[in-house]
Parts: sequence; structure tokens; C-alpha cells
Amino acid sequence: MNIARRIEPVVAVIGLALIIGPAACSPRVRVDPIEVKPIHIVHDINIRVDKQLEDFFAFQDKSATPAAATTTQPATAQTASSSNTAGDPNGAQGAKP
Amino acid sequence: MSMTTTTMTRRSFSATLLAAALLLASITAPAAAASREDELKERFKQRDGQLRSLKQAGTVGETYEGYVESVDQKAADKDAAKVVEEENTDRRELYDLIAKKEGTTREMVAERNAKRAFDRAKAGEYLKGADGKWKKKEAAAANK
Repeated sequence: MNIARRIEPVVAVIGLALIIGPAACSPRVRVDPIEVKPIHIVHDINIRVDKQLEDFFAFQDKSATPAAATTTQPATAQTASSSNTAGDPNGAQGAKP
Repeated sequence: MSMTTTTMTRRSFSATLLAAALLLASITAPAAAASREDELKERFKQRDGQLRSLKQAGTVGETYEGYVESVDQKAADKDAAKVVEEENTDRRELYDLIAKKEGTTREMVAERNAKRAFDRAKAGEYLKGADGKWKKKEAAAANK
């Protein structure tokens, strides 16, 4: 009876150790939850908004191209005018100061 | 029995009607937004040449808030003021449309457009920074 009482806590401790032991020793790989950071969302919206604006104002590029062509024209016209100034009043002025 | 059937028929009819109305709304709402966008685009197109001339003349400039403004408020003539007002009204509406579509705010869209306008600005055009001061865009910055 006394022996049984003495052994009882020892058995309990051994039992607990057997239960907890493997759990404590087994390797655990903790996987952090995937976090969508707000900065990525903002960046994504920026790209989408930029795309919307680019698409909407696409006509500006089309209309800007002929304007750019006309701004570069005088330079070529002037060089051409040095050889032939008949049809160009600016060229004629340049030829006869 | 017939009363119950009539009630059920009425209920199913009203449910069908509601579903049809929702379906119609879901179809027509984006279409209406698209047509409004087309109208806006047309107005922007018509104003584009005039606005560009005003910008190149240094009368009007882009602001960091995504709108246009007269560089010299006192010296601005009525025509320039009208163009500025119309442009800003249409921009506000466009920003709202895009914001609704992309689930963001008008201010955010305006900010993105300001960045775009600043990048696209040609040398000699005036740009108003966050400090409220007008600065002339230099050739080196424009070529970048």
C-alpha cells in the first residue's frame, strides 16, 4: 500500500514525460501567415490609375506628334531656304538682310 | 388555396421583376459611364489645342493637385479663365469616374495625373509645386 502510494507520483511524472516529451522534441515549422502589405496595394492601384489616364489621354500623343513635326520644320526649311528662297518669305529675308 | 397560389405568383413575379431590374442596371451602368467618358474625352480633345497654346504662352500651368490654373490670376483674360474653369470641371468628373472604377479617391487620381502632366510638360511651361510657387520647366528637365 505504502509502496503503491510512493510509486504513484513517480508513475505520474513518467507518464507526463512520455506524453509531453515527444511533443516537445518534435520539430515544428512555423509558417507565418501571408500578409498583403498595403504598400503593394497602393502601388497596384497607382499602376492601374496611370494606365487609365494614359488610355484616356492617348489623343494628346497623337495630336502632339504633328505639332512636334511642325516645330522641327523651320530648321529644315531654313537649310532648304538657303538654296531656294523663292517660295519662303522667311528664307528670303534671311537671304537678303 | 387559390389565394396562396396568387400570393406566390405575385411574389415570384416581383422577384423576377427585381432581378430583371438589377440585371438591366448592371448592364446599363457601365455603359452609361463609358458613354460619359467618351463625351468627356471629346470635350478634352476640343480644348486640347487651346490649352496647349495657353500653356506654351505661359498663361496657364499645371498644378501639383492635378488641375490647371492661370499663372497670373490678375493678368488672365476671360477666355483663358473660361478654358481653365471648363478643363478643371471636366477633370474633376474624369477623376471621379476613374476613382469609382478603380476603387480609390478623386484626390489620388488627381495626384497621379499631376505627376503625368509634370512629366509631359515641355520646356518653358509653368508648373506649380506643393509649395504653391510657379516654376518654369527647364529644357534639361523636359528632355529627361
